[in-house]
Amino acid sequence: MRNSPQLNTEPTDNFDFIKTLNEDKTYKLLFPPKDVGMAIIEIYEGIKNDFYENQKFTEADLHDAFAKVCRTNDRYPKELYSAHIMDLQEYFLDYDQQSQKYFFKDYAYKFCEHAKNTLKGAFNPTRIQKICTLLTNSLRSKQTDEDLIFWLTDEFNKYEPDLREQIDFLDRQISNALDQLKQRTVIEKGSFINILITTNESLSLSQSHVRELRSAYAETRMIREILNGKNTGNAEIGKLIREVLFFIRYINDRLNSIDKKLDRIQPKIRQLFSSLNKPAFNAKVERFITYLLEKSVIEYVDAQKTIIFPDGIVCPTLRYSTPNFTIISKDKELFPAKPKQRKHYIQNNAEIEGNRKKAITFLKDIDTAQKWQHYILSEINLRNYINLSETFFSIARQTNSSLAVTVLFNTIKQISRMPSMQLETARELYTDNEFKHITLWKMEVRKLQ
Amino acid sequence: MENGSQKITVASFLFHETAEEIFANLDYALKDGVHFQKEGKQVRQFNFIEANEESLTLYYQKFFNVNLVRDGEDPNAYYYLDFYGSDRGNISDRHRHIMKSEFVLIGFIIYKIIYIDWDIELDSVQKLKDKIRIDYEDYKPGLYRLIAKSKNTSPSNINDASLDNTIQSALEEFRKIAWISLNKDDFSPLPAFKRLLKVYEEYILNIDDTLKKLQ
Repeated sequence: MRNSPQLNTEPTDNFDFIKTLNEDKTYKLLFPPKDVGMAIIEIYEGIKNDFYENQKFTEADLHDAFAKVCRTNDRYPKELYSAHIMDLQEYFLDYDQQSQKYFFKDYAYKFCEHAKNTLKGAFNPTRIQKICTLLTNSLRSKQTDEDLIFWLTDEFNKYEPDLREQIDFLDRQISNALDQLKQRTVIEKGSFINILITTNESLSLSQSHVRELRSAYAETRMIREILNGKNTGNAEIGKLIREVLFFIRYINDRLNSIDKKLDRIQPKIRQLFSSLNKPAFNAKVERFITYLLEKSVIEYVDAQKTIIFPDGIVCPTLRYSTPNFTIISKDKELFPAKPKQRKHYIQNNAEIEGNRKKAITFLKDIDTAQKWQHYILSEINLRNYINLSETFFSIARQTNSSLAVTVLFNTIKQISRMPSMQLETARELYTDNEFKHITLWKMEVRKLQ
Repeated sequence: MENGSQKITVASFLFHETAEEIFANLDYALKDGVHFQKEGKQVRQFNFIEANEESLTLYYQKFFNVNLVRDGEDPNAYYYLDFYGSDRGNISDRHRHIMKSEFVLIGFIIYKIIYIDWDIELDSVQKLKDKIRIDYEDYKPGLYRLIAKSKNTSPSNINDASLDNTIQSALEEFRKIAWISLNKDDFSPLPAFKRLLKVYEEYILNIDDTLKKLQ
């Protein structure tokens, strides 16, 4: 197992895996020695190829399998095989007394399948996508804490190895391709090129696999969002959610690192193509390195220990310092900027006075209007009645008609908000001799008792 | 691309559409010893040089007496200003920087690891340091003697620290001239790294004669 996160499905019990595995023969029974394990694999392949009826096999079948893989000096080591079968009955085999045949226990299937899938490493992004969609949909349907815990521990956990396995497969695919390069033993130009071409092709394939896998894993983003939205106060759920989120991040990190690795390796492969036709030259480079290392001497140059290469070999001039510009800057304090002539603006006093008067008149009008409004309200309060139309003309006489309109408007607005006052409008025109162009409805205000 | 109707002159590159934007920085960098290849951020400058190669070559030849050289085969081609061998160039001594012998040695060992031993997965500075110290036993006495400048040629903390520091400085120098890309612990050789071999090509080709003479 790589150093990857493992979801802890049994957070509460005190199961000690290491201690239990260490007891008696447990380890040996779970991980049988090569001969026994290979025989089991033989049977597994037989089952997969429908060699046995109903996936059940006889003791003779088992003996045949052992005979195929076991190396022993006994002519017919029945005793030995029986001992193996007895061991295997703990975790691998079950015996059906009725048919007198053996069949695989669940552990045997898992044991063989896991090994086979790891080695075969089928690349299957479509399956990953389906798993991710399945997990997302089932997570969406979880409403209660109990259901959520089931998803976090059982459902997600069940598919976690599948999700991880694909990345392991990609990683191995790249390592295998590169191992071919390292293990080259034949120093022939033709085979060099073939190895390089194959490596390059399989790396390109890996690169497209990374892309496909990345889009297959896209759904995990949804899982992450849903889980981030689950704001439960339950500490256990919180811990489980963190573990799943950690796993999702782990998958993405590994994909990124594989991607980066491929990006770096491919240009180098390209460069290797160009050094292909030079094995003799490379051998000379190696001798040259040894020559430099052995024959160079240390001498003092300008009181510094310096390496002097043999044979007058000098070091290359590779870098030249570019000139530094001399920038002539002007000190602002020593050379202050010339003062600019200040521009004077002449004020138009008549205009100012005119505007001031307008503003004062406006303010005065507001003030007068307020006083009239105040007067009207006091009058109503005092006499319980006022003839608004008449008052309008009396204001107009004392000030002007537009101010009277303002006062009347504000007063009506004010009165309408006061439940104790009532405005009565009669269908009767009210006029005044002085203001012939103004006609009002007869308006009266009464105070309700 | 010349169509025959216009003669390329020493000044042609100045009228290239991207000259105003690219030339000043490119000029500084070339004189700083930077190599240009079709990689990463250098692509635009590389294309500029490629498009104006003839004119720029005339310019550096005429005014600075240095060669603008194109080396390496496509797609691993690279450009640089070659001062070596034309020591009557118009760039004065005080403006020249000569690569340290230590860096040349480290450069060759990196070449051996990646291009001769094909360790193309190597991309970590730390792993490179470990590798030189652990996997290249044959080179160690020489490296300790020359780089740690130590009479004690067996592994020791002082020798190893000195070797590690020199490897680090060499990588930083190589990054400056764009022989490698270097970002914290990540490093990767660029096509121009092969220039090291080019510099010593003559000696390398004649190494067998040199060794014979020594016997």
